Amino acid sequence: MVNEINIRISGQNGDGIFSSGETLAKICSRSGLVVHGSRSYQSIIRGGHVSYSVRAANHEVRAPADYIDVLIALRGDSFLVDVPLMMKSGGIVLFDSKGSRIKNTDAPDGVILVDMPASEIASRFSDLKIMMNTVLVGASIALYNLDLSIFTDLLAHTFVNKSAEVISTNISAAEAGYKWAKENVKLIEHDITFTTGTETIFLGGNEALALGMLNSGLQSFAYYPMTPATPVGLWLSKYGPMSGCTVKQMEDEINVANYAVGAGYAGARSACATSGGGFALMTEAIGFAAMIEAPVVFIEVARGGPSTGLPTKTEQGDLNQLFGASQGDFPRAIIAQTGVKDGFYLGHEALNIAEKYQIPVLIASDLYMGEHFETLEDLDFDKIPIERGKLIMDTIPEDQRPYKRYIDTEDGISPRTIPGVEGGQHDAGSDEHDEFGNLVSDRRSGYPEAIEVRIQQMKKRMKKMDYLLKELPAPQVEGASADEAKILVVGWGSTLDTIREARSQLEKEGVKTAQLHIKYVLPFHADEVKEILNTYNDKGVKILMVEANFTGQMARYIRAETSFEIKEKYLRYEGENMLPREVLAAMKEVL
Amino acid sequence: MTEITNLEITSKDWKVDVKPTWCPGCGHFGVLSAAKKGVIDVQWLPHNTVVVSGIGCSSNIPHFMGGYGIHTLHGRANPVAEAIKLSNPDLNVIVSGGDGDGLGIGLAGFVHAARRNFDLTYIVMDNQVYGLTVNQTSPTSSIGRVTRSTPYGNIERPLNPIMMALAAGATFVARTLSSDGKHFQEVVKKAMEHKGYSFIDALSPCVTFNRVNTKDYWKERVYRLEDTDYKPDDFMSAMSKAQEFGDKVPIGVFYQEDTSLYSDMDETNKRVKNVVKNGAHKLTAETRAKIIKDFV
Repeated sequence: MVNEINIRISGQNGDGIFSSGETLAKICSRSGLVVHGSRSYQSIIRGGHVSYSVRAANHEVRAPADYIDVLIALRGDSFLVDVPLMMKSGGIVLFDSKGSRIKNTDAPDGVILVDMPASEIASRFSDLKIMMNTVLVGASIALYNLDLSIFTDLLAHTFVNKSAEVISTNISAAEAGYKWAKENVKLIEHDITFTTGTETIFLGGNEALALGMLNSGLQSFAYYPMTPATPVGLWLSKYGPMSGCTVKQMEDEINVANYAVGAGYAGARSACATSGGGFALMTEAIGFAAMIEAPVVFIEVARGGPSTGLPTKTEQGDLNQLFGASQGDFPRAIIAQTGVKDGFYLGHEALNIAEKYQIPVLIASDLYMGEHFETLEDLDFDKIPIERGKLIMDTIPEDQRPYKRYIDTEDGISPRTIPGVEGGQHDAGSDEHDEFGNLVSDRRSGYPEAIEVRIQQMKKRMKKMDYLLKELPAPQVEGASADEAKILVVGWGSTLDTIREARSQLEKEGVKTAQLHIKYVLPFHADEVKEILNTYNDKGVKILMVEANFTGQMARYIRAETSFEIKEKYLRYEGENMLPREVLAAMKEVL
Repeated sequence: MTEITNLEITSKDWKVDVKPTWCPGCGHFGVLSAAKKGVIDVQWLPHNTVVVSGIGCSSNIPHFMGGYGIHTLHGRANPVAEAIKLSNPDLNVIVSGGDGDGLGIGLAGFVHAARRNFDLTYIVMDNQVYGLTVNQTSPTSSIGRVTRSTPYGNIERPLNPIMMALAAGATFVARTLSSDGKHFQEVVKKAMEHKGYSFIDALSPCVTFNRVNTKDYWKERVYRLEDTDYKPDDFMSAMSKAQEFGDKVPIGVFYQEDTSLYSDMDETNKRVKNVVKNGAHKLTAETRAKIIKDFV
């Protein structure tokens, strides 16, 4: 008896894998389940081997599944990749040896091979090869006794702009696949309860950030296509114009970043997104934003590096790049996205911090985080208000002219005027400048007054970091206390839920565990983190760092900030999504 | 030129206290003077005008000009200006910088801003040398020029800014000379009035590092297109005229075309006109419902 649905569909690029996978995910969502969808793909347009995995249950499923229970294998390579790595006894493979010309069907002992005439069934309704997917999806949902009408309703919704014939053909194919499975395969025993009538939004991590920003008054977004960050821009290209946000595809990431700074300077709530290589090009503009105190959100969705690296695989390998972005010392926030739903709220939070502190805010995401999908129950669109900080839109009184845009204040934040505000004229300069914005870098440089200005402005800008740190919530330990826990797992960003699930598996074996997860990376709650690590360490609790990069970038950062060295590390850099069972194995190894 | 009477905006409104830091005799003084007259000719309010520059001697101009100024990074004035214009199309935006800034490191930004036809006035203060880094060859340096980076003479063919602007799709393309104040003022006024991307190649001699292309050098060679029967309404004629750059150097308007502006065609601006003035808002219940419907 299982309590989860775990289906994967795999085949070649061009086989319609992603759309079939998304259909499966939406069938589960519309059946009242919590759904997690994840993809694996390659940097080609046709061929290769791609998959979409759907995990669904009545309980929270926020991490990739450890194993697949039902595999829809559209190609022979499914038996080379998905079957050996992800299947165990009792799992079912639906395939069509004749229609897909699959010869080698090696599988672990106990895996049930169901050779289904899907192609032949599909051909009764259509000449289109893709119709086979519809037949197979129909068969896979029959195995769980999911309601066929949810699938047929979804088909009607998907093909709403097509002819009635297209809709009826697809529905007939779905019905035939469903019927065949019910008649020929032993159904899966489960205790999952299906409910209908629920409408839960199903979004990817990238899209959730985009939706969050748009609901937080985003007015300008710029991007240059780069996997895996592109979906943020694509999503906003469609929905941005519906809510007062301009979206601009630029000629390169250098100009994306500078465009984003220009928009922030002009008074638009501004953001841009890229991956590691594009971010490397953007870096000069990040310091520029900090210097002219323009609010901008920079989203970095990391993929496997270095260089062009693994364009379609995940890694948390760009943290050092975020720390090192742009020359000199300047205030900035680095926040790691820890979940899809978290991304929705983070979109609001990042724009608010950028505008309140007039700084660049860097969001650290990664391919797994950005490109996996979850149902987002109970999204609260009113939870976080739009905060614009000290933005002055009214005419500046005569006695405040010329305007001191960079006036020194207690918290380092100066009231900001934008072009169009009468009397607020000033020069925003990337050079060091005085309170008016006038340069001290040219002929005044080196004179006593210029030295004072330099010190004043550096301190003014950097003070913002102290105030921001006070506003950000300090990380807290989840799980057992230092007295009870056997192991404390430390992670950051995208691994939150995977580590949680690995812990819960270990807890079922009677081992008490705890977790420290970092979301606010800069400014950093060094004192609090140090205190937690020392407390657990002093009690003899094993401490394990889990992160997806070669050198343990966060572990090194924690050591630099707290002088606490986490010796045990589980580091991943081959690019695949981290699975709970893999983290569990790493935990057991140190115990 | 139309005479403007009862001026509302005068040089007093554009007065600033910051004195230029250029070398005495620098060509850029002429550019500054003509640009300051230009904004008064077209009656631009200082607080509704943004002067965007890159980095280099010439890019210090926002500090001396008045209005809102943004002194960006090296070669990045154009993308910053595009963002300002698309976010708030009611602003008047002038882009300025040198030949190295705009035609070297910033070439991509210039070309793409031009082809999009943003309503910007871009003045390249062209002195054919990198001045602020103390005398290196630039994209417009002539062959054979000896600079500190070309001690044996420049061997790279110079880029033709007029042809580049035309090829990129700029809808107003002109050349003028910083020492010819009257001509400069006329050209810059036309550029500011033009609805679309205006490009001005402003020959502006460097008195310290370029002893070849001096004020006198240009004086001997330039002639005004306005004094000939040339008409700036034909692209192929403009391309042909642009190749004239030797013993005779034409100044004036090479090309002008009226076509749609990016900011007018942008889908968001068609709906809300001006995103900055429209303000930052949460999704309306209607838009929220529409989005949710697509993702269930």
